Amino acid sequence: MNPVESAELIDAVCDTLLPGEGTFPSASLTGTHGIVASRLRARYGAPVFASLARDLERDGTHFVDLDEAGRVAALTALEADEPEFFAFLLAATYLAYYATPPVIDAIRLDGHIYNDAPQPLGYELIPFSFTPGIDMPLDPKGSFKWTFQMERIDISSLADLQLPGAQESE
Amino acid sequence: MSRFDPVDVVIVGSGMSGAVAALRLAQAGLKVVCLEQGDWTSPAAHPHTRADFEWERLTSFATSPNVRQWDTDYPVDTIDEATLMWNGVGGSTVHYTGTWPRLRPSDFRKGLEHGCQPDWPFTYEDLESFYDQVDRVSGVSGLLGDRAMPERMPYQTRPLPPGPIGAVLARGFDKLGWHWWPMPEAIIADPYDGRLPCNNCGNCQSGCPRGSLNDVSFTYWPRALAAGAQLRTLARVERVESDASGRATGVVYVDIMSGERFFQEAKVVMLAANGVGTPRLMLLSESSSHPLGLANGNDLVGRHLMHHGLAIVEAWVDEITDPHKGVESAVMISSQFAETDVSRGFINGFTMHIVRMNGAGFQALGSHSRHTMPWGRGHHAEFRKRFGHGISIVCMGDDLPLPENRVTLSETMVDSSGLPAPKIAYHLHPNDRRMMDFAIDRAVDVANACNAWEIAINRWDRFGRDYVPNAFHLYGTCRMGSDPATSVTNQWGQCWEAPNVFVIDGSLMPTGGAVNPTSTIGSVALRCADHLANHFEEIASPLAGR
Repeated sequence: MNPVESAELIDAVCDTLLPGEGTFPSASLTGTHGIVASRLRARYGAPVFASLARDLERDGTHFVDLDEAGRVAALTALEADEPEFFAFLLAATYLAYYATPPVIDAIRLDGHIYNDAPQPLGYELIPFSFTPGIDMPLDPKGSFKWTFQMERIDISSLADLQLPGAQESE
Repeated sequence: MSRFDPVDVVIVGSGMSGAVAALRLAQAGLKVVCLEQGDWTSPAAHPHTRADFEWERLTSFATSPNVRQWDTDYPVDTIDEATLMWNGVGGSTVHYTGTWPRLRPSDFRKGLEHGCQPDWPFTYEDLESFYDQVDRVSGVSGLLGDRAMPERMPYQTRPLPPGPIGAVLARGFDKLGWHWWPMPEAIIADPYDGRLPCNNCGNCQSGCPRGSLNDVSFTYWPRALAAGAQLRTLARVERVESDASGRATGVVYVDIMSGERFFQEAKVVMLAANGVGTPRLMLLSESSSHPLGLANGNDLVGRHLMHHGLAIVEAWVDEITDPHKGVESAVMISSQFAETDVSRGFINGFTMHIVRMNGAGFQALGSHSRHTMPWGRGHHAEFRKRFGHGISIVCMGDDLPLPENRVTLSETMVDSSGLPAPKIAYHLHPNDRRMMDFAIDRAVDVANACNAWEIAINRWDRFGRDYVPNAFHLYGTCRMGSDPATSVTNQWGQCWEAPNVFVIDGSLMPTGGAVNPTSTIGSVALRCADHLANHFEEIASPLAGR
C-alpha cells in the first residue's frame, strides 16, 4: 500500500466516523486524519494501513471506492469483529477531532465557553457563596456514630451471603 | 556494590506517606534518605497546556503503568483490574483528584460492629489530630458543619464552588431528602502557603501544574528537603537486607540511569511504596531469616488487597451543567448510605460522589460511563444534545478484605531492572456486589430526581468479564493490628517479625471505609513517623524486639 493510498483510506475512515454537520466540519477538514494515521502507526506499526484496508474491503471493492452506506457497513462489521482495535481507532479519532481549532470553534458557536486546553486560562471560578439552597443544603441532613456509640449488630438475616468468619473485636 | 554512609532511616517511596514521614523525621533531627524509582514531574510535563491533553491523559501520561510503560514504572500482572499508580516523586498525588474526605469513626470499629472485618488497632479519635496536621501542610478546601461527620478544625480555604452541576444535584438530593455536602478537597480555592488557587481548569486527573492541588512534590517535599531529608530519584529498591536475627540492615537499590547497584545501610527501614509496591518488595526480600519474604512468617503480606467497590452512573439533564469546567471530583458527597443498615441486605456502606466529565473528546467517548456517542451521521446531533449537560455519580463502597485478594510475584513479567512484577488477584465478595447493585439503584434514583432524560451505568463489566474495575485505591496488604498472628504490623506500622522495619502506606489499612484514602494514608503515616521520632533510640537499638 503506497502512502497516498494509506492517506486516502484514513481520510475516508475518519470522514465516515465524523462526517460533519452544520458548524461541525468533517474530520478531514480539521486535519484529524493525519493525527489518527500517526497514532495508528505509533501503536500498530506501518503495516496497520494495509491490514485495515483488507479488513474494510467489501466484496472486492476497496473502502475508498464504497458509497457511504457501504463504508458504514464495513466499519460496523469492523466494530463487531475487532472491538479492541476499533475502540482504539474511535478514541484516536474522537480525541483528535475535538482537539482541533475548527471543532473548538464549533463548540463555542453553540454557546459553550471552551478553552483550547485546560491551562493556562482555566475557567472562571465563581467563589463559594455560603448561600443555603444554592451551594449548601437548605435543610442539612446526615448522621454518624462516634466510637463510643458503636455496638454489635445482628447480621443473622444475611446468612446467604456467607460473610467471612466473624473476627474477634479487639 | 557501592555503599553509602549509614543513615538513621531509609524510606522507600516518595508519595503521600513517604513525604509525610520524611518531613516529620527530618524535623526531628534524624538523618533520612528517601529512595524513589521515578523522577520529578515538572509542571510542563503535565499535559494541561497542550491541545491533545486528553489523548496524553489516556496514553503517555496515563494513570496506568501498563499503558504508560515508562522505564521507571513496573508492570502489573493481572486480568482482574486496571491497577493505577504513579511512580515518581509525589507518587500518585502527581495525578489524582485530591479528593479529601476522612474515614468515619465506625470505619475503625467494624470488628465490633459485625466481626466480618477487623477493628483498627486505634480509633478515629486517636487519628484526628494527625488528620489536622496533614491538612495544614496539604491545604484543604471545604465547608464546616457536615452533620454526617464529626466536627473538625477549620479548613484552610473556602470550599470549591459546586457550580451549575451542583445546583442540579442539590435539587435532586433535596427532593429525595438525602444527605449531601460540598466535598472536602486537597485543592485550594484561595491562595494558601504561597500557592496559587485552583483556576477551575477541570483536568485534575492529570494532576495540577499550578500547584493548587496537594501534589506532595509541591507541598511536602520542599519542606522535607529544607529540613534536611535527602531524596534520591531513579533509585529502584530491589530488596531489604536482613541479618540473622531478622532485623533489617538496609536496602539494595538500582540506579536506573546507570544500572549500578548500591547498598544503603540504615538503622530503620520504612516502606512507603503503596499497597501493591510495598508487599511486592517484602516478598522480593526473602532471606534465611525471612524465608517467606520480609516479615511474612504468617503468610499475610500481600493479602486482603482492597480498592473500594466502584460503579458509575451518568445522566444527562436539560440544564447546563458544564462538566468540563471545575475540579473533577469537588462537587459534593452524599453519605446517606455510609453506615451499615442490615435491612438493605448487606453490611457496610457506600458514598456517592458527584464528579465532572473532562473535555469534549472524553465526553464524546462516553466519559466515565463509557456511554460512547455514536459515530457517523448521528454523531454531531448527539454531541450537541449531551455536551454540557452531563452529571456523573461515582458510587464508592467499602469492600471486604478477603485473603484471596492479594499481591504475589509474577512468574512471567518483570520491570526494566528484571525484578518480578506484582501479580494481582481481586474480586468482589457477594456482599459487596449486592451493595454496589443497591448503590447503582440509588444513584439512578438521584438521576431521576434530577429529571434526567438519559442514564448510563458503568458496572465495570468489560473484556468479557463481569467486574474489571479501575483500581486507584491500593490498600490493606500489610494490615496492622494488635495480634501478631492476624496482622503484619502493630499499630505503629512496625513489623512484628522485623522490629526496625515500618510499613507506613495504605498497605496498613485493615479496612478502607467508603471514601478516598489519601488523607487517611497521610495521617496514619504521620502517626507512625511520630512514634518512630519519639522512640527512635529504643527502636533503632539492635536489642529492640528481643
